[in-house]
Amino acid sequence: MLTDDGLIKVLDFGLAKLTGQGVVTSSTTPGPCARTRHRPASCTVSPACLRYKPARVLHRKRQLRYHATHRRASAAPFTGAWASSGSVIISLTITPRLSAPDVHKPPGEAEDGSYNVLQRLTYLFVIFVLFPLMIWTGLAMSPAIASVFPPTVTVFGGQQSARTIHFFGTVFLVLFLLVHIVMVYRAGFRNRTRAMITGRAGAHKEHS
Amino acid sequence: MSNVSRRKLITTGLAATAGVSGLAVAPRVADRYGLIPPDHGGIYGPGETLTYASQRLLTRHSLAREFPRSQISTRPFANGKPPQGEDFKRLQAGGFADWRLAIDGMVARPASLSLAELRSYPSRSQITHLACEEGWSFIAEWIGVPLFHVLNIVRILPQARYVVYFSIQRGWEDSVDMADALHPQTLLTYGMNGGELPVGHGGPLRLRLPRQLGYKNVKYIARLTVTDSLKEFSAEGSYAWYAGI
Repeated sequence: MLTDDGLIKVLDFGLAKLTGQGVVTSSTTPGPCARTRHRPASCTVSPACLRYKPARVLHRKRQLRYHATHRRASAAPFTGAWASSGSVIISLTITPRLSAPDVHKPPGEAEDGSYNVLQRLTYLFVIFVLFPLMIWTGLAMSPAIASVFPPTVTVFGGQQSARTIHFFGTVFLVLFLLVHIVMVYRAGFRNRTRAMITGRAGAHKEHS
Repeated sequence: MSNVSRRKLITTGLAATAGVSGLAVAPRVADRYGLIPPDHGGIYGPGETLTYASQRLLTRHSLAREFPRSQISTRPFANGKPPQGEDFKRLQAGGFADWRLAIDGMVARPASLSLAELRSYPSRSQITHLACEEGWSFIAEWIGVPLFHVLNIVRILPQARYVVYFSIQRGWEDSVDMADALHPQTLLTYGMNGGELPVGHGGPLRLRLPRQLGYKNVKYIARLTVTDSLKEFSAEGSYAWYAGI
């Protein structure tokens, strides 16, 4: 169960990851933890690390921008309201990553294999569950295909069931796309799009 | 260095020649085996062609699923309004006794058949699913004479490739290839669920193709034309010509 606040944080953690990295990679004044290749295990939950203000490690001229993009993500994570809400588990696992690891990793390495569990699960689900299901339910709506391979329809109980599943899958895929467009937009549309096409990050030009 | 580049030149040249000639021959081969749909042009043409070709290779002889009697829908949805023309109303008032099915085109013996004649032919009953691209669907028992039987009576010519069927409503027509026209489940339907085919469901005569979507199952059939080209016939709006999907 997610509260509104929790939902925002869940959506925001992906955004923050994208927005944070681009800015941080060009930072030249690392803080005490910033050169740690592998961040200490305690760092994910240690209040000391969480209290550690990311802005401090940033170059002075980037401070305002960083605050602007992280105002929600880096807001004090462990307040009474959070602890009493249904989103406390998510906040425990995600919020530290919002404020801590992106900043503590050295420049340039923040993006290396940096997808977290939720992101990986989402992609695994979309690629290996949702897309095959969409193709299957799509074929199940074809009367000709159903005449050759009746199981395409019968496993769903009928063509109308397949159609319902197909439509909900469509809604999810469209939302998935929209969320990603918002993420790309917030992370710097031109730079991210260029990175997608050319494969070069060009992090220092993150001004869109 | 020069050897490598010469070899490369030869290999590339041969590959390019093979590719180009393959591309040139492929449409002819595909056309010869009836894998090119009439709507192969335009933006959606390649997609339609791919769909049609795969379906023809996969589903030429497959039979649509038939259901047990218990699965028949209690309230089948009758889409649209009956024809509003005077001719249809006059025929309906006469109990469709004067309804005629005209058959012309590439046939040895053009004919004009009454409903009584159609009923005298061997009938077939099947309980199949009718699905519309709008989303609704139902299962019903359909009773009629297989189209292949009627086509055998009028004796189609060898060059025939399509059967065009016309509703009594002007401008409402569609067509199928011979694979679907001669398919055993393609029926000229005059009965439904044990009774007469209701006007709402296309009575007195509807073409049923259980392997294609609803819009190919044209109601109020009054004429069939056998042809080898669809150039002079209009297609069904913007829908795909092949509706096995």
